[in-house]
Amino acid sequence: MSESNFTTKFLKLFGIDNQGHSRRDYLNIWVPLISVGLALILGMIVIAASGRNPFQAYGLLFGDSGLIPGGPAWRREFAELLIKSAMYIATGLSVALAFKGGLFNIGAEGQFWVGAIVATFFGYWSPVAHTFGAMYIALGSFGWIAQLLHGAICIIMGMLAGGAWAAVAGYLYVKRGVNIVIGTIMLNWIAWFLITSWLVIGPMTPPSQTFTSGTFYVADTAKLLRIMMPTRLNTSILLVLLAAYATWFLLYKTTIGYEIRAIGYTANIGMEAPRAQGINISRRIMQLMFLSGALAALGGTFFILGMQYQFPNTAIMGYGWTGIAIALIGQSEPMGVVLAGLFIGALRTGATSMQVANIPKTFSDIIEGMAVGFIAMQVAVRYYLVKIIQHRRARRDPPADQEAAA
Amino acid sequence: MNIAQINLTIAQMLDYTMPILFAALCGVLSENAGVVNIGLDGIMRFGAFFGLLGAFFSHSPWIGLLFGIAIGCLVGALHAFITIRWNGDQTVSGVAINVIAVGLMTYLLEFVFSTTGYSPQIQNYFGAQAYRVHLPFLAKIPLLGAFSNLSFMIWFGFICTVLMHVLLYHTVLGLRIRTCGENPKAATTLGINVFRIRWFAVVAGAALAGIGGATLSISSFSGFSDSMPNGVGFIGLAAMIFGKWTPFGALGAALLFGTGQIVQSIIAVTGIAPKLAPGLTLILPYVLTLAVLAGFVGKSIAPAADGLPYYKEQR
Repeated sequence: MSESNFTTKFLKLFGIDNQGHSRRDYLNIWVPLISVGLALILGMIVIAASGRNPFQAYGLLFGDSGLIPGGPAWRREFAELLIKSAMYIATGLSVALAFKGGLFNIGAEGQFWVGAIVATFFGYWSPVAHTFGAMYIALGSFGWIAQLLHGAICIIMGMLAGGAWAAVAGYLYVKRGVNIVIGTIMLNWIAWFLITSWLVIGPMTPPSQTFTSGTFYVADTAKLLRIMMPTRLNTSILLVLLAAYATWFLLYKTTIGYEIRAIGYTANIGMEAPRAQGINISRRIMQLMFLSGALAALGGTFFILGMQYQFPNTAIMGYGWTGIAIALIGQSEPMGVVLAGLFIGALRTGATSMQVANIPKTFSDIIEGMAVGFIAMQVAVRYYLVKIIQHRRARRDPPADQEAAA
Repeated sequence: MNIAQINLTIAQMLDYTMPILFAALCGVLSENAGVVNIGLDGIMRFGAFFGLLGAFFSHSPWIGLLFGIAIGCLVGALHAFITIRWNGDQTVSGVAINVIAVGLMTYLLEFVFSTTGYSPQIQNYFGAQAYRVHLPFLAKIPLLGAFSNLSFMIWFGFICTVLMHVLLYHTVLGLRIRTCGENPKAATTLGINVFRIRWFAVVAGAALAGIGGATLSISSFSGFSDSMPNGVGFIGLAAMIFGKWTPFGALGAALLFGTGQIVQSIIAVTGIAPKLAPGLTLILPYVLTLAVLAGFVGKSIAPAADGLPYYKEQR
């Protein structure tokens, strides 16, 4: 079939092999595309229903999203797109990796905050910050080595903390039977109140500041290196692409990845097969949650070391939830997550300039939410898609008996 | 603290309790029928905004309450359509509702009131003196005095809890709802239409979450703020679990968690322990819930078929 061939080639471009699966598998790539398309159309209807010009709004949305080269502000917008995408891809990978093992990590949000607060701490904590500050001066023109090392320590510590936070939910799941969705939601709010109602207004605030000012700022050596002056684009996008590659490699080229997928495939039917194979399921699930949490925390460290340089005393909500949307749109494949993350990053970058047309920037949340809604209804999307395809085929080459009847 | 202050504190605690209770009751009804509703935080956001909208334009909180119920039913129907009609993943559908609620309410707030962050304040809300339930004979009695001058929504919350208990444990419909949550296959063999029961439970439950949202914006407060419901839906989810999926359990948990919310202000007012970080009291509901689920404190077990889509032909 022509559709099948096209899709096979398309998937192969991204290193995904869909041979040996059922022919209907090419729908996998059309479901998220159609969902996003339908969400964009519904978004237009929402804008039109509130008496605004949807074409002008979408012109602003995509024109300033950084996706289309050209224009005076394009470099800045492109940089913003990549900075935002880096964080979303990180949380998206986190959720996607857990999905592959049959787990719904709804706690990427909390793991993101834990990573962020720990990265902040190691960014300003004087023993670390002074060491690297002295090193930076001593190394002279090789000062970037100190910057790399300090940044790496902040990121690694943040990832370890975020991973440990998620592993708590994994432990409670395998040892005490606590549903992973409920466990991670509860841990989200525990993290949220510990950070915003204690750390950020207490122990981590400079004494002279008012309690609305957030934590200490991280030392200059902890900030991520900028790679495209004069924009604030930093190394986060490179790091997250590396993380995406590592996730793909882990899933498809290692034994652990195979075992994770085996657990994921059979998660709804008791995991008998992987157990019979001798896979230590409890251990793998805890490891998987650790890795998933570490990836979400990676996004949190980008947020601090690349954008804010401190943990602000304002709500920084939504990165984890957006990560869920991205993992679903990307169909839990690392490559799909990268593409979906870039798309959502573009949407969020462009949405800020929609405010010119009196449309709040949370408009991108509406699009995301509706896309997720359609993916939740993917049974329906597939059903009508197959119907349309069959209808078209029947019209193109009508069955022989019908021809005879005619 | 004198009696008047204690009474005031209790009334304030009840104000915090009710949104949590309505959210928890939403969870109790829909999860007993076997449908997980993570989206109840989003439904509360819908209810809060539309409740205020109705009250603002009609100058009557009753219309606002009806708006809250209506929008709750509508969003609940969406959740039911995705998860029951098309067997969609219940958690994914809930996430979609939450994310849409965040974006759409901010959009509508800007569109209807041309403001960001806060809606205009309203005069006619359930917390206003004219709309309170006055029981003067209680005013002189210690402790019970707190109940002499409460918002209608607080009494409504207690009534709903009792009604829910009667519905679930003393009616045929309740037995059917619980059967659908425990063993839908058995329900089908007894001639119960599992889909219809689940539709009812999800839509009616979502109506309660809508009421809970309206309670926030037109009873506890007199306006909508963009940060609403500020995680109340998730505390409600925790209260439902802590209350072991029963209406009275949910009431008890909601009262406990509501108290946890104002411990902070009690500390601030009385200066008992100014050094205690507020974050440490606010995490209490979630830590307790995890402890109960993990079996460290009692044990809380979900209905057996909770969260599983039902396929009629599947064995």
